[in-house]
Amino acid sequence: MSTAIKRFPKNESRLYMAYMYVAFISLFIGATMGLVQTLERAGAITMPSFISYYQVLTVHGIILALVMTTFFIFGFMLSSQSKTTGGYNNTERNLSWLSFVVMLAGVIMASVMVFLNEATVLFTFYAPLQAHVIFYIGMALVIVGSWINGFVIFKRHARFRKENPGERTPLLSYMAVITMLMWQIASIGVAVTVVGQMIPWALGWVDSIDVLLSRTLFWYFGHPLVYFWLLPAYMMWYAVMPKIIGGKIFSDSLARFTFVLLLLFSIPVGFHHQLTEPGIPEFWKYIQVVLTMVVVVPSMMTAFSMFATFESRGRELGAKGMFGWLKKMPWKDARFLAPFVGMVFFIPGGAGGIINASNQMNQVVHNTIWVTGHFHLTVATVVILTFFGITYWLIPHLTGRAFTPVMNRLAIVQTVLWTVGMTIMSTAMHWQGLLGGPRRSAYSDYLGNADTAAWGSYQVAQAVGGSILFVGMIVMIIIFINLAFFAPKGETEYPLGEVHSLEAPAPKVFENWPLWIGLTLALVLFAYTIPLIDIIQSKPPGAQGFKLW
Amino acid sequence: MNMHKYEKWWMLFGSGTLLIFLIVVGVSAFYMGSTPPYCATTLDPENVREHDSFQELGLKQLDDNEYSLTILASAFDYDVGNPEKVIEIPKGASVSIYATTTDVIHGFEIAGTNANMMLEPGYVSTNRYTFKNAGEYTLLCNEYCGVGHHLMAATIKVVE
Amino acid sequence: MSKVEQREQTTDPHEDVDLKGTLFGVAIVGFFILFSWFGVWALFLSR
Repeated sequence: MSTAIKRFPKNESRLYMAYMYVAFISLFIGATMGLVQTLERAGAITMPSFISYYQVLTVHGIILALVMTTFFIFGFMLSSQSKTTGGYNNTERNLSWLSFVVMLAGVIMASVMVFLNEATVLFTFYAPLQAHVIFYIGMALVIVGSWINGFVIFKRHARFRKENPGERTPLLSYMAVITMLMWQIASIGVAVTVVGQMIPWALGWVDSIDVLLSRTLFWYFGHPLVYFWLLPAYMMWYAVMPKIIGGKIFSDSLARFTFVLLLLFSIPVGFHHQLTEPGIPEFWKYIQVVLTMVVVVPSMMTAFSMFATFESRGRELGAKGMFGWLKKMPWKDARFLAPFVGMVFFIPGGAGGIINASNQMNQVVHNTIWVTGHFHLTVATVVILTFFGITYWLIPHLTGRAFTPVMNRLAIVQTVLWTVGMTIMSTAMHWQGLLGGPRRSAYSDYLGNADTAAWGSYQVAQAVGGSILFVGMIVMIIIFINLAFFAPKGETEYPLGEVHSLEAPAPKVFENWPLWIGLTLALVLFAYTIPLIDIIQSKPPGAQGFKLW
Repeated sequence: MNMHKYEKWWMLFGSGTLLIFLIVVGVSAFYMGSTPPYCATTLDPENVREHDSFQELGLKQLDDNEYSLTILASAFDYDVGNPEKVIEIPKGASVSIYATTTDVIHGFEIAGTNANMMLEPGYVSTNRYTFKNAGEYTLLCNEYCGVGHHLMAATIKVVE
Repeated sequence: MSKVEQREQTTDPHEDVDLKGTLFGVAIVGFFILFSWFGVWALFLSR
């Protein structure tokens, strides 16, 4: 039986499904919060007494951008590494369970604090707003828990190389290693600020905190965080999508090369989230802007690879002319449609990102709701639609069920709802942002000036888009529950892209891990050492903690 | 590892585009003074009102068309030096804005202009903006600072 | 370049495929990036 059809042993399916349950429960809670937010900001509802707008916003950000993403990513990445390397042994699997438990414990701790209104500090929990110490401990557990999975992924890849000397490593395993290397190196930053600064400060062991240092450590982590979301989507695009359309991986080597570039350049760029802040030397802001433009390059390569994958396959099926290959794509297959729509949304998503990072031009958009529009395109459409596309085959593969034609049609409906809802909502956000509308703000008439009054219609449009998205979410939950519990038993393929038989093996240097880790660290040291020294040496007295909610 | 001819063209075009962006913002920032906001000075975040920089709040004329604007942010208020919360600036004036916070991080955004800075405890944020277009602009907080975050505002009137 | 590598290059799967549609596609992406960037830059300069 081919690896693709053969099911995981039950103890593995259970592990991956555990991650998926957390991911989809998070989707349900988080997207419901989102609906509440758009209605409140449109003036359609007022918050009840027991929960505030900013609490809802905190839940929305943390549970979608930190919990849902992380748990889905691990479920997908671990299953893909296992599938292509030949499975995990007991140690590896149990370590992954440990990771799951530690992370979940952290999530519960942090969530309880947020629901008790002890941590209404939003997804970025900036100092000197000070949450309850249990919130920070919870966050620390999520980060440290994730490192255990990183260790599993490294170990399994090393084991494959040892057991299969000279063989090309599975592309999905290689990409998982790159993703986790990036994550481990990046999350050290947030771990240092949470454990080294915030926990002692929240406990009263120290009475002030260096705010700029804390933010710098956070954003050193915060940018690669978005690549931690994007890279698993790229994994599906490069290594799974070709199988779904019946074609081949366009280039295994180029795919590995883009991932190497993403590892090197995703991290030393955090300052582009701090362009309007005092205390960071202008020169170093610009250096990190330059590095940010470099990290756009592997995504440009990915765009080419994706088009080329589709065109190659289309021509193989007899397509003629410049665009004939489009017609040959399996539009009626939701496993193709959802990620494809995700790819299309990366065009405005990526373009907006380049604008955001453009040094002084950032002043046009910083902290406006344009930024919110931007990341709803990228993580909430590009990445999430790809993840939904994965769901349609991963869940039934794990549960031994079939993705029926009825569910497939419903999945197409889901994709259309998401597309329409997000187009309306994100466009309104981008435009309102250009008009100066701030992000992260409850409904307000401000001082009644004409400029703020003009935002009202955009907020209503966001409520319309948000409501459509909410319905789209409910449809997705229905599909998930069906695939998990009610769909008829069947054999669902785990689609694995095949490398072209004529393609030469990837250059060995791509597996020279000490080289890539060394270069990554060197770039980080280059981008951060001098400005960090400046930040620490020139710092003012630290700040007290504030609970202003 | 082989790259298709068209991919080489695309990478050239794409990288070229990014380089153009970097040159445009770089020249504008380092040779034409169009910088992102920066730090004028540091101070003790618990004694802001006593600091020299914040003795006189509001607009002050320095020269022909050169002004300074000093504003203090706190939860949940902008102290612009007058209780009406209005600042009148002549059109075309170049204004060096100095602002800081007495408590948590606040945003400083004059909606519809490029004046957009983060105010962080212990740092006086500054940048120089020329108000080219007449109109009534709302100064507001765009960084979450607590329950009253969306209530912090003042009016900047740019008059002919 | 060794003989083996030469042979592999001439049968490289990338050499023969017509990718004009791909070139057109990425060109659209590139122009979108250019136009949107300069659009916001113009806004920045006007403010």
